[in-house]
Amino acid sequence: MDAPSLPDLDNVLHQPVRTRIAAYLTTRGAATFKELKQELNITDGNLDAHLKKLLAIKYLVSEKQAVQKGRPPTLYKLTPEGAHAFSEYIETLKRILSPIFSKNEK
Amino acid sequence: MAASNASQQIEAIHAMMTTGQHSVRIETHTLVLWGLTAAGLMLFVGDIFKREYFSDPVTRVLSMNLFIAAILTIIGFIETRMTRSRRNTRDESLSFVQIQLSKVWWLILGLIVIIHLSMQFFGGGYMLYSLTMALMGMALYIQGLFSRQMLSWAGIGMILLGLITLAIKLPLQLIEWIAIFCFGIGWPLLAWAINQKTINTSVFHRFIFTLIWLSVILIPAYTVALLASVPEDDIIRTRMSLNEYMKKEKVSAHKQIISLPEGTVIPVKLNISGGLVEVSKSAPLLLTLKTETEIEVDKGIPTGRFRLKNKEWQVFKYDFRLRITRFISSLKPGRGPAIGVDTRITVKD
Repeated sequence: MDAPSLPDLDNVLHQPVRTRIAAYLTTRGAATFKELKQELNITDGNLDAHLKKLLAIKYLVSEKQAVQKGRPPTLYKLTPEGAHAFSEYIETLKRILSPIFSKNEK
Repeated sequence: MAASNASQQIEAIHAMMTTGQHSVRIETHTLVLWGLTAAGLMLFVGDIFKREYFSDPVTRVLSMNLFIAAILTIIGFIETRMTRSRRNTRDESLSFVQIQLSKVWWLILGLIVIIHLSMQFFGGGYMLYSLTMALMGMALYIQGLFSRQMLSWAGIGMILLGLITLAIKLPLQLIEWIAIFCFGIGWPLLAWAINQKTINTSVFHRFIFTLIWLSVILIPAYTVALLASVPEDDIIRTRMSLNEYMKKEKVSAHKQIISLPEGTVIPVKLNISGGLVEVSKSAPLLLTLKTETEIEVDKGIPTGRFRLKNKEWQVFKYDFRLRITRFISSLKPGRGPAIGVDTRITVKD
């Protein structure tokens, strides 16, 4: 079940697993299903469902990695739209938190 | 409520971005293969390309460096194939950062080969092992920034080993053994350590492992360097003076120790090539020995081992340094052309 939405927050990214997927891919660049599963520590079905949502909204793109032999692994990457949406999402979180930070500073 | 939710999200994002940044994984076989290769090259290249096998020194130097470059290329190829194969088996990818890091490794390896080649022409060979440790340590440190932190710790350890061995002027033979043990034992041990959870998560465990790691390198290196020095008792039995040796008509089939007294005059045969000048046969350069020195000879040929009066045995290759500190030419009226060369010969105290 998705987390309750906040004003101005991207509803697709404002879900703990999807936020973590976007954050991980921002610094990692690309990752396979197995790598994401290991880092997020969730089930195949759960990860698959979240990846499908991100792919559907074109925040993620999947592509086959070229290999000389064997089954080519599928790599998941953030699209430019996905990267932009993630950046906007972080900015919105910061805006929500800024009154607390300024109160603490005073 | 909203602020608390946002704060948790920020923390989760930060944690995952850090994980993504440190996601470059170095395979166990990578450190083992490169470590053993480096140690093997340091151990055997000198014996494969001995001076007596080559009439032309330039051919020797070029052959040696081509051989080193070929070995590194072959190992690099094998390592890449193995890494890709393991990644495919585990359904893992090679990240963008990892591919860029591989290029940094190749640049540093290339730099070491070029430094090795140029040292053979321009001198400074005693710095080779220290520089190699420092440069490879730098590569490990950079790798560790995007991977396991233990790699960065070992990298700093290697950089310090390289710099300190040079700064405190350790004997070259000892530096060589430190480098051999660092790559041959240290790197495979590091390959094991980076897969240990406690070492990667606890600063205290990393610190303890770094101390053990340095001990595993330094203690055996010191022991081997000590054992490699000449066993004195074996050679005392065959000692003779220079006068006795000169009177012999035949060269002995065994090793002998010849004692050269203080004041012995040694003619120096200079070979100068290049086509500009040639050495005059009428005035040989004569050097006078300032202290009694024992020299080991095998079938009439010096082995490279020598000892100053009341001092320990030394090895020419490691302990004898000749430096040309100044080269002056002059052409004064009434005196004609002259060339002055300031040379400093040092041996271990």
